[in-house]
Amino acid sequence: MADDSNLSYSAQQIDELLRCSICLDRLKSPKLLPCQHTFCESPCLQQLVDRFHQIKCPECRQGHRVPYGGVSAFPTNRTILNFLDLPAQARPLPPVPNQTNDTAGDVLAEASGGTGATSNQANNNSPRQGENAQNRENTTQSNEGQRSGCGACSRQLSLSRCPHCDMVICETCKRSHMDQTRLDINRIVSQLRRGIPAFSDAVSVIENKSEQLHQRAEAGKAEITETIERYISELRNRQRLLHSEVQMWLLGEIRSLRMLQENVEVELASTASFCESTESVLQRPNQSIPDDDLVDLRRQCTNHMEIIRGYEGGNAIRLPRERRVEVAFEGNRFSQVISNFGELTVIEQNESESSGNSNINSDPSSLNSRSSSSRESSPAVFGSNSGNNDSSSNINQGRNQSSIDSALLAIGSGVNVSSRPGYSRTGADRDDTGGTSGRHGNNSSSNNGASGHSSDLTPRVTPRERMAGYIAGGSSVAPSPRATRERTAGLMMGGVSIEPGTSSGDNSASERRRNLSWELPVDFSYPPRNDLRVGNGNQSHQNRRSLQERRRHNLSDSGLVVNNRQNNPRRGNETRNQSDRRRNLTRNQTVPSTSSQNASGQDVVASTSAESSERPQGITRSRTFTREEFQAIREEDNVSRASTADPVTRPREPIRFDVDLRGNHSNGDAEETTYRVGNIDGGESTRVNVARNIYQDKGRAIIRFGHRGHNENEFVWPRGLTISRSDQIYVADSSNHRVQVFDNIGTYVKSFGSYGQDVGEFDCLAGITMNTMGEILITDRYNHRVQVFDPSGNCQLEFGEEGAGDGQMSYPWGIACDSMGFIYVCDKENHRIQVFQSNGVFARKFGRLGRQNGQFENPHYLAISSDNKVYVSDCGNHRIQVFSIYGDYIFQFGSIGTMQGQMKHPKGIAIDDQGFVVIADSGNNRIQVFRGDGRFYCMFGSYGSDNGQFKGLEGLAILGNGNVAVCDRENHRVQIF
Amino acid sequence: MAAGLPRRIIKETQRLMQEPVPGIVALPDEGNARYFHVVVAGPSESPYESGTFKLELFLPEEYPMSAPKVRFMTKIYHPNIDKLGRICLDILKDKWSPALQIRTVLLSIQALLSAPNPDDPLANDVAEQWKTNESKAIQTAKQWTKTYATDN
Repeated sequence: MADDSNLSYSAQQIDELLRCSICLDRLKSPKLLPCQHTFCESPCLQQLVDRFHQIKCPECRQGHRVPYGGVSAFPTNRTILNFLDLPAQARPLPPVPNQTNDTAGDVLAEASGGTGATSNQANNNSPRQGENAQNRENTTQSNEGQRSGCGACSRQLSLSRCPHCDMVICETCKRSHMDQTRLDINRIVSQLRRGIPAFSDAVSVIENKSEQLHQRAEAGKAEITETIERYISELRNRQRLLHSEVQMWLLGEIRSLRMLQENVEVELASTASFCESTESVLQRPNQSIPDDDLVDLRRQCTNHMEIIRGYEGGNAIRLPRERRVEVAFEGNRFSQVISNFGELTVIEQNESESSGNSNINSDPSSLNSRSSSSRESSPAVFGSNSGNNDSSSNINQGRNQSSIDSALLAIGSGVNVSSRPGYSRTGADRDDTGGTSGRHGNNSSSNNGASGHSSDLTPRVTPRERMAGYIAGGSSVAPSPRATRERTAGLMMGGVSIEPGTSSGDNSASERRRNLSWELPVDFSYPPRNDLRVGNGNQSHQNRRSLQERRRHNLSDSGLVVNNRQNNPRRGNETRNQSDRRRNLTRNQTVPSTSSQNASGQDVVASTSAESSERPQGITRSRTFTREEFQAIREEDNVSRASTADPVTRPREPIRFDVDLRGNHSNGDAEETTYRVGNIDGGESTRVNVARNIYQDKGRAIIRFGHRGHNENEFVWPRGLTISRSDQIYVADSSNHRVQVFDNIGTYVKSFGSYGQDVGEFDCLAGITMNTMGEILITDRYNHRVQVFDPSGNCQLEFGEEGAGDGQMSYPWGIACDSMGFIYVCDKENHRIQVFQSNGVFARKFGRLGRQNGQFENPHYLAISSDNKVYVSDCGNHRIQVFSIYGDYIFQFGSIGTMQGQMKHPKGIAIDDQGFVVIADSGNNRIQVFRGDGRFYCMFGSYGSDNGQFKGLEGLAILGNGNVAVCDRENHRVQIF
Repeated sequence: MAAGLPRRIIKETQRLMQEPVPGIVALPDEGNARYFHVVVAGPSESPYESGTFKLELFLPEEYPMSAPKVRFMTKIYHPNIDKLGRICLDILKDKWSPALQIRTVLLSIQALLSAPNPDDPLANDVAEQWKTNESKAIQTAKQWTKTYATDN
């Protein structure tokens, strides 16, 4: 450039002079400072004004006061203005004719004289740019050339149009302009390059997504497969069961047939011998036969004749042919259920909030048509599912266990109770094992009824009795779902009340028992018990008796049952869905459940018609017989108990229960001794055992006590809870800083402790336990210590302080003692378990923060089983971990979730003497029972403040009689189940 | 991108590319147009002759209302440049003026190399050396230049 022509050079110089040294652009509204330097008014000068309202000249650093009117009040540099205006005046140019390629150079030369060289040079220097410019020129130059000077410098040079911004500029400016463009391009390219990873990121995101989808699909498939397989295997189990039932039926039939055959053979032999002897007698010619003998013979002949005639007639052949086995599957409905079972719901979901899942739902309509309680109704579940999800398509696998289970139930019931269309499925399959067999029983029994019970082999139930049964069954209708449940509760606690529902249950139960005894003659004349309030007392006696006999004879093929016909117009069954379902869940393993169900749940079977109302009785229950008997007996006891206290309707009258309970026990024992023969242990321990096992009946609290407050019988956030050897309940009334003691039915006994840091005082105590010496060990949470009290509430020992070292603790929570007296403390904030000797000396510790095996996140409670395993509720990891008493990790169970066997923030934990682990699943507000090996057993409870509902579970413990006492923290109460 | 970048910076950059200052190369960083990689040739007839010194120059957000930040990347023995390469130069501090530009700043730095000012020291020991034994200091500066500022 420098060696350009004079004109160009001078123009450039002038151009330089016309630049503002701040913005480096051509001056706009040039303002003259007193130092004679000129700058743009805005924004350049404007920006220079400092907070003292002064301007320092950028050129000479001379300070100037900014005039009152601001920078615009500085004088305008008119000379510069004239210079700036110069190009505009020169703008009108000699007209340039239309341009062509050939003349482009000429035109340039023509337009700008000496600058033609410049443009050429520029073209040479940057050929590409030149080309562009040229091409551009070819098409559009003429117009711009005519219109104005250079858009940048306003000079009248060879002009061309910038292809980039459509500005008409001279070659010089254009070159810099294009350079700038090139620079920009460079920058943009680098920018682009920097942006490239975004693409690859997106690609990888998409890949991830698709992989995820694949995985989800796979998971969904696996889920489906697993579920279906499960059901298939259950069906297969069912098949085996049915087969074995049929087999048993066959054996029974054959046996009776054989007996019959023997009888007939005897008849045959005796008749033949009679014939022979008679003939021989008659053939003795000369022997005088006494007339009497002859007459006698004649009579005998007649007798034999009659017998033979009886056989000839066919009627008298007492072949129980009528008892056919008829396997009735309700194919249609079952297949319908199958075809509707499982449903993929593609759900719009919010962001990645939920991992996609296949929603394996059973058809809600088919499933839940009956279930009255919304809690179990799968539609509700589904509803909530879909409600959660909004956008983003996902296969929702939030498959609800309960729904599946109910579906399963539905399947089961489909098989079982084909003839009860209106019957709720869940209710129907309560006796899963007995259902189909019951059906056989039905058939056979009805047939028997037709044949008139003439044979000894048929049950001795007279039509009259039967009618009585019907009447009783009919009259006693479970009035409401609640009633039935209450009844169940009543049974659990020893049977307190008789109410319509209950009575029906008793009736049916007794009838069932009667049925069980069908093979044995029953002593009709047995005197009715006075205390039986329900009309069919006879039957129950008989039943009981028959039970005894049964037991005595240990009949294994007892399954064939005379059927009760209960014409129960109302379907109270629906109400039993819940408990039934629970039973069902555990059906394969839980003998007691089935039995109890059968024993007590009989009444619930409601039927719409005589036909359909037949309540099948299971054959297969023979192995569970003892339990059944227990149940039956218990139930009878209940019935016989003249009690009005309904545990549900009057949950707040523990005293009454107390009385009832005691009455129950003694009474029951007495009666049992009356009726029992030998091998059934009616003793307390056995009863307890049984009761303890009936976790699945613990849907409703027997006793609830406490509400928020500071007085006796009131709590503020009760947490830990333990049971003394004398069956007193010690509750850590955490925010009242005291321990309250109740007896096993919730009667206040005493309390001790107050707020403070001294010995015997508490600051939000949490865990509480009892050692073998009857001492009470308490974790004093905010004092970070453990205190040991003697049974009368005097502090004997305290140990621990805040910290993370050995023997120090941070917010200790749960506490437990093993059989040797070692004290195990959940050191919650240190995420470990510490073990102390009984004198408070640190012994060992295990665990640390983490998710691995043997690591914890805020362990809350722990319990030690009788076989010396330490069960720790690893609250933050939503699982239970099991250790040896030395801290060796053994196994764990549970994961976060709401399905059975899953848990959220498990807290209280207790182990019964059979090794069942009861867990307060606080996040799900339910209690779950596991077997000692971690297999799910059953569960109960839901969110709320009603009976059997929880808000924030804490500690729990098992009473001596098997009842489970639970601290319901946010409801400030204790519930006993 | 140019939109986010003040016109003045673009113009300066352009001009630096088009009309480079002799002995000075300033290239904007690929990723950041406000960051420049600078190479300054040691001025002739100075201890830094034949050395090439790398600097980094950053234009802060307020530029041109505040001074660019400049730092020597190459080790240099100079009374006004410390071990970390920080430069003691008035126009980079309180004497900054918006009328100054990148090129003027770099020229000033180049000038500073030619005319060390031990009375306004940053690296005290170097300034000390310079004042007490200038020839030795110059010798050291030459040495350093040879060691650190050549062949790169």
